[in-house]
Amino acid sequence: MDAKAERAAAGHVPVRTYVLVGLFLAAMTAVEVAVPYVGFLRPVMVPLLLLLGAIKFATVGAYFMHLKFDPRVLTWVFVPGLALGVLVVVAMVIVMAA
Amino acid sequence: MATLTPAAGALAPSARSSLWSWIATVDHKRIGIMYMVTGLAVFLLGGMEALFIRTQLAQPNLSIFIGDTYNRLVTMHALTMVFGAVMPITSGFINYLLPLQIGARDVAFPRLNALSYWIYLVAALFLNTSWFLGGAPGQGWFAYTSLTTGRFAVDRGMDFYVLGALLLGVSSLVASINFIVTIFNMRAPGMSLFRLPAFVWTTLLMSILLVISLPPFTVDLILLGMDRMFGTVFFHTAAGANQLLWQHLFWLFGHPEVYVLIIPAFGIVSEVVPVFSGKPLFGYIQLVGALITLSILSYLVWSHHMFTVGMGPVINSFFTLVTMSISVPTGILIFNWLGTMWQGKIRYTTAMLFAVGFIAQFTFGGLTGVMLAAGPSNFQMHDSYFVVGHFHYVLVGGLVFALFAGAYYWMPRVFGCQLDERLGKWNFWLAAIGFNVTFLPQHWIGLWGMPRRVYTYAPGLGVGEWNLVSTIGAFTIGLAVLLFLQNLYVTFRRSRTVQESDPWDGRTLEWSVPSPAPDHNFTVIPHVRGLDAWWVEKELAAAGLTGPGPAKRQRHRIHMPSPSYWPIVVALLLGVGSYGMVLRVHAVSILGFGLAAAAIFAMAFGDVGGYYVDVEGEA
Amino acid sequence: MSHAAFSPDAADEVHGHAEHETNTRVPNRKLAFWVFLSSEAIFFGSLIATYLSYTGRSVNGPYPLDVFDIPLTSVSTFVLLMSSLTMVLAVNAAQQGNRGGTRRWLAATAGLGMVFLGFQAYEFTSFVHEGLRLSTNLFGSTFYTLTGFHGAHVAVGVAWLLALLIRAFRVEPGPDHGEVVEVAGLYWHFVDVVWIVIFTLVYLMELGR
Repeated sequence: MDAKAERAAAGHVPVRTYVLVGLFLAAMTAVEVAVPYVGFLRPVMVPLLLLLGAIKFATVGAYFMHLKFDPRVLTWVFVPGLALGVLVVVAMVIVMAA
Repeated sequence: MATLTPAAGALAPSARSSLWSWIATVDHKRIGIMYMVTGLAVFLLGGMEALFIRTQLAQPNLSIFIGDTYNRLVTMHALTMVFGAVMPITSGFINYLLPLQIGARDVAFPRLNALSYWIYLVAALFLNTSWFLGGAPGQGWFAYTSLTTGRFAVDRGMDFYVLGALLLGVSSLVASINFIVTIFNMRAPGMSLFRLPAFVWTTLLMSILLVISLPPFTVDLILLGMDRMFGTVFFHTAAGANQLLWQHLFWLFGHPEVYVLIIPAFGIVSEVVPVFSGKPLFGYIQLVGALITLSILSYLVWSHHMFTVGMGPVINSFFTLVTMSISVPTGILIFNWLGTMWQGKIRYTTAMLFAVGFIAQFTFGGLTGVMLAAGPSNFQMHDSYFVVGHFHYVLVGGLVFALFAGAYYWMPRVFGCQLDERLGKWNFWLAAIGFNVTFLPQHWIGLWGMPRRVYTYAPGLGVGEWNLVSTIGAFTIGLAVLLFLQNLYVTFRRSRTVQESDPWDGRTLEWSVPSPAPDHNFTVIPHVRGLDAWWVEKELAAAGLTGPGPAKRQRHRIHMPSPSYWPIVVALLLGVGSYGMVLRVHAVSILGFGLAAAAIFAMAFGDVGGYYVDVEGEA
Repeated sequence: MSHAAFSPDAADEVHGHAEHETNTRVPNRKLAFWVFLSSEAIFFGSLIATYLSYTGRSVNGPYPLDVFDIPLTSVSTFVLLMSSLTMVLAVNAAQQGNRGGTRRWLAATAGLGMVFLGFQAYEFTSFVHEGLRLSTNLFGSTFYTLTGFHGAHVAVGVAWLLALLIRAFRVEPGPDHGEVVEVAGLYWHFVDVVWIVIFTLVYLMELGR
C-alpha cells in the first residue's frame, strides 16, 4: 500500500485532520457560549449545553488523545473511570438534594 | 552464577546486605519484605491499642483510658490496623509474588514501587507522631464532620489525619497503577488473562478498586483540610453547608475500601485451598466472574453506612437491595472453596487451617452483613456493637486469618524456610478460640443496646459479663500473636541446610524458581501452557513431555533496573512538607513540597540507569 | 533442584535487553498514564459534584452572576482549546523526529497555557476585589477550590512542558521521545477537557438560573 495508507493503518493522523478538529472545537465553543443568550433555547439549555460539552469531550478524547486510533484497551481503561466520575456527580446531586 | 557488570546508571549496585542496599532497592522482592516487616510491626502496635480498649471495657465504670484518650485509641486502632498494618502486609505479599506468578522479572515501574513503600513508611510514622505532637486524631477513622472542625477538634489530631491519609492515598494509588500495568503488560508468553492465578486476579481487581475509590476520599480530605487550614466553609452549617457531603464522599471510598481489604484475602485462600486439597480451584471462571461482579457492586452500596441519616425510604431501599445482591457473588466464592475441598486429599497444614477458619468466619461475618443491609432493621443495629462484631468477623476472622494462612504458606518462598508446624497449630487454635470468644458476644450485646465508641457503660445492663468475656478473648488473641512471633524467631534461628523451592507441591509459578530467588527471578522467561502453570509443567515433565531435547547451558544477558535513592528522598520531602502544614509553618511546607516536586521531576527526567547481569542457565 | 526447562521462544533474552514487548502492545508508561487519568476523572468528578451540590445554597453573596464575566472566560476557554491543538502538533512533530517543530509547538503550548493561567489569575483577583473569598460563602469555597485545583493542574502541566522544552534543546531525543511527549500531551488534553466540563457546568449553566 502507498505511504499514506500505510501511515493511516499505523494510526498516524495527518496534521490537516488535527487542524480541522481544532477548528471544529472552536466553532462548538462559540455555539456553546451563544446558547444561553438565545431566548427560545432556554427550556432546553441544560441538556443542550451538556450535549455540546460531551461532544467536545469525546472529540478531544478520540482525536487529540488518539483513543480512536489506539488499541481498544486504552478506551476500556479510561471510559469506566469517566463513567464513574459522571455517576459520582449525578448520585451526589441526587442524594444531597434529598 | 550471576556476575554483575555495572553500567551507566543512577547508582551502581553495592554490597547486597548493606543498609544502603535496602534503602535504595527497587527489587520487588525486597520491597515486599520491607512491607511485610513494617506491616507486622505496626500490626503489633494496633494490637496493643486494641488491648487497651478492651481493658477499659472489661468492666463497667472503669477509668483506665477514658474521654479523649479513649477516643484517640479507638480512632488510631482503626487507622493503624487498616492502613498501617493489613494493607501493607497485603501489599508485601503482592509485591513479592506478583511478578513471580505471572512470569515477569519485576513490576512495571520498580522505582515507583519503592516510592510507594517509602511514602507508606513516612506516612505511618507521621501519623503516629501525632500522639506526641499535639494529640492523635480522636474523631473516629471515618472522621465525620462537624466533629472534625471548629471547636470540637481544636488540636492537631485531625490535621495529622488529613495529611497522613493523603500520603497513604498517594502510596496506594501509585502502587495500584503499578500493579495494573504489570498485570496487563508483563505476563509471560502463554499467560492469558484466564490463566492468571487467582491471587493475580484479586490483585488486579483490588488495584482497580483503589484507583476508582481513592479520588472521592482525596477530595473529602482536601475539603476538610481547607476548612481547617484555609477558612473555607464546606462544613459550616451556618453558611448553608450539608454535613452529609463529607459522609457521601467518605463512604464512596470507604465501602470499596473494605473490598480492597478482603479481595486479596479471597485470593490468598484461593491459592492455599487448592494446594492443600490436591485439586484445582473449583469453578475458576465463576470465581473470576464473581470477583468482577463483586467489585462493580461494591461501588454502588456506599450509603448502607448512612441508613439513619434521613435520606428517605426510596434511597434507603435502593441501597438495601444492591447491598443484599452482593451476597450472591460472595456466595459463589464460598462454594468455589468448598467445592475445591470436596473429595480432595486434604492436608491440614497450619496454612490450610487458617484458610478453613477464614471460610467459616468470613461466611458468618458476611451473614451478619446481610442482616445489616436491611435498611429498616439497620436503624436498630447502627452504631451498636453488632456492627463491631460484624466487621471484626470479616476483617479479623476473615482477612487476618487469610494473612496468617499466606504467611505460613509463602514463608518457604520468601525466606526459604518453613514455619514450625507444631507451634503453628497452637497459633491457629489459640487464634480461632480467642477470636470467636472476643467477637461473638459483641453481636448480642450490640442487639441488647450497647453503643459503639463509648468508653464505659453502667453496671446492671447485662453487658458487663460479656464485655469481660470479650476482653479475655482479646488477650487470648494477643497470646496467639505472641506464639506467631515465637514461631518466626524459632524458625529463623534454626540452621537451614536444605532450601527446598517447592515444599508444598505448589501449583503456581512462584514455586518454580530456586530458593532463595535470584534477583532476576527467571533466568529464562517461562512459557505458560495452562492454568496452574507450574502444575501443568510438573505433570508434563512427569509424562516426559517437556521442552525440546536435553537442556544445553547458555549464557543469558538480563537487564536489571538500578537501585535509586530518589524514592526515599521524595518520601522524606513529602513528610517534611506534611509536618510544615500540620505545624502551620508555611516556609517548611512550601520548601518540603516544592523540593518533593523538584525531586519527582528529577526522578522522572533523570537517567533511569540499568545494568546487565550475565546468567548461566538452561536454554 | 534446578527449575524445570520451559520451552523458550524467548531467544530475545539471549540477545539482551529486548524492547520490552508488552502484552497489550501499549507501552507501560502510556497505559499507566491512562489508568491515572481514569482516577483523575473521578477526582475532578468529586470536586464538581461538591460544587454542584452546593449551587444556589449560599446564604449570602456575592453570587456567581455578580462576579462572572462570561465573555472573558470564553476567551480563556478558547485559548486553552487552542493550546490542545498546538500540543497535538508538538506530539506529531516529536513522533516524526522533527526537533525544530517539537520545540516550536511545545513552546506555543506552554505559552498558551501561561496565558490561560494569566486569565485565571486576573479572574481570581477581580473576584476578590468584588468581595468573594474562600471563606465568604459556599460559592467562594467551592468555586475557588474547583477552579484552583484545575489551575494548579495547568501549572504543573506548564512546568512539565517547559521541562520537556529545555530537554529538547539540550539533549538528543531518545527513541522514546515520541512517547514521552505523547504522555505529556495526554495530561494536557485531559486538563483541557476538564476545563470544558467546568466551563459548561459552572459558568454557562449559571446563565440559565
